[in-house]
Amino acid sequence: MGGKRILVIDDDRSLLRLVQIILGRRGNQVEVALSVQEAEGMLREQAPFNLIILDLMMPNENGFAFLHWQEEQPPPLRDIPVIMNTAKQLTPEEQQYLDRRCLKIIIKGINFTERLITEVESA
Amino acid sequence: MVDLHERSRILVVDDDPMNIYIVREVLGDGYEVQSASTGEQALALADEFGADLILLDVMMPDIDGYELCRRFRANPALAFTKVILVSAKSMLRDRLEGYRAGADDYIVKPFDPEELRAKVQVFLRLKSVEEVERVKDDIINVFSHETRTPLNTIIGFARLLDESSHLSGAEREAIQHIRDNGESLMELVDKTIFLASLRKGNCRLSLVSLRLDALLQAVFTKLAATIAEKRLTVQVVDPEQLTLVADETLLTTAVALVIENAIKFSPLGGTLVASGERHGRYLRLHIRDNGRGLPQSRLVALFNAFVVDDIAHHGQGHGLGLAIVKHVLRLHGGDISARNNPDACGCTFTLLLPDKVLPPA
Repeated sequence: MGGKRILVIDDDRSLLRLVQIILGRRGNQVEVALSVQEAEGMLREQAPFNLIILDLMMPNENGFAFLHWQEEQPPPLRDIPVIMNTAKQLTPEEQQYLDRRCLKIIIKGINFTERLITEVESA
Repeated sequence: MVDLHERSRILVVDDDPMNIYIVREVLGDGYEVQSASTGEQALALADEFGADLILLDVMMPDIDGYELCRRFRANPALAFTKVILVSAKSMLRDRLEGYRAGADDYIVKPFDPEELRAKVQVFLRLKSVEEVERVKDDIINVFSHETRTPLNTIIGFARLLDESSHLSGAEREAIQHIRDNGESLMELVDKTIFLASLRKGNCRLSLVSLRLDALLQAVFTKLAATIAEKRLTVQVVDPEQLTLVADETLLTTAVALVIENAIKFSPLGGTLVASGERHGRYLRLHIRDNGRGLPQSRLVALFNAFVVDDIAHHGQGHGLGLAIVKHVLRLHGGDISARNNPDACGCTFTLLLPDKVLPPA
């Protein structure tokens, strides 16, 4: 079981709520942010998080922008592991960057929630 | 033939008024024709006029035709515009320079009016096909990506409900319907995105040496549940213990799609035979079922995406699986074919793979 403090960043309200319920039921403390900007504020001001779940494609600042911002932050913020989830078909270059930068990449698909649970629990 | 579309626009670029006059005579009836007598004028006009096709004289006084052609090509607004170079020069070297500058074709002065009309027609048709293709790709792209996230949410919440312990049988059935249909739609979206990425050609093969029997074993293990459901007997015939060179993920996906298809058309208690043989430079993998076989009309367009013979009655396949298989095999320099078995019982799909995969040109 979980017990992690997790920040989920996604511009889709219902998906955020779904992830919050599912991971919350497994004993995690789940906070949500609807934009990169909101997430940055929460990460700076709130108690430290153990894990970030990040959507790649968002209007305004996207997942890549968040990753670049995070790289420039002092530890421990810089070192919080990120699970990326995306509905986008990645180019080989993007794949390479994200493989290096993220704990795991989850493509939104049929077993999305199962995979998310598995990855969060093994993180 | 009456064309109800708006008239196509042709820009004639030539410093000799006589040549412009001739082109107007030849094309003026069927098309909207505008002309420019200098390079600068042509650059300004091509954009503003929205030319579908440009007839471009190579020998212009201010900017030469090849350079003009390169500048047209650099303009994204003219991405689909066709450029035909017109010149009295007919040396191969000149024509090659024209193609390198981005011209679509070359016509030598003096030209036959009929040939000019025919060429213009061919290239305008090509342009409109390319534009339609592009719109189709854009629609498929936007639709499939924008569908993934809401589908995730629909399926996810349905599963969440399903975890609840106090549901009636009818409620649980309703949830199951939401899940089944959501998942079928998601599968369609996934296949569409996969096919689109194959078609775009931004797929890199990571080639490894594979054993055919191991590959088949992996596929049959993955499909064990559906095979058991239909109580099928599976036979693998690989007396030579064949090996092949391929991208493991892509080829496994392709073989699984063919076998899934065979399972779907197999009768309850039927038999599936997967057999490999070497044939010259090629390996052939036959997947044989003993179902009803396929009507001739279906065999013809079997590997085209989105082709279904009866749109009202097609099943879960959406016609995408086999199109994916075809693309995967062609990427490997191979192919796929299908025919009904000679004993009029079921059909056989044959996957052809070369023993060496050459990188695309």
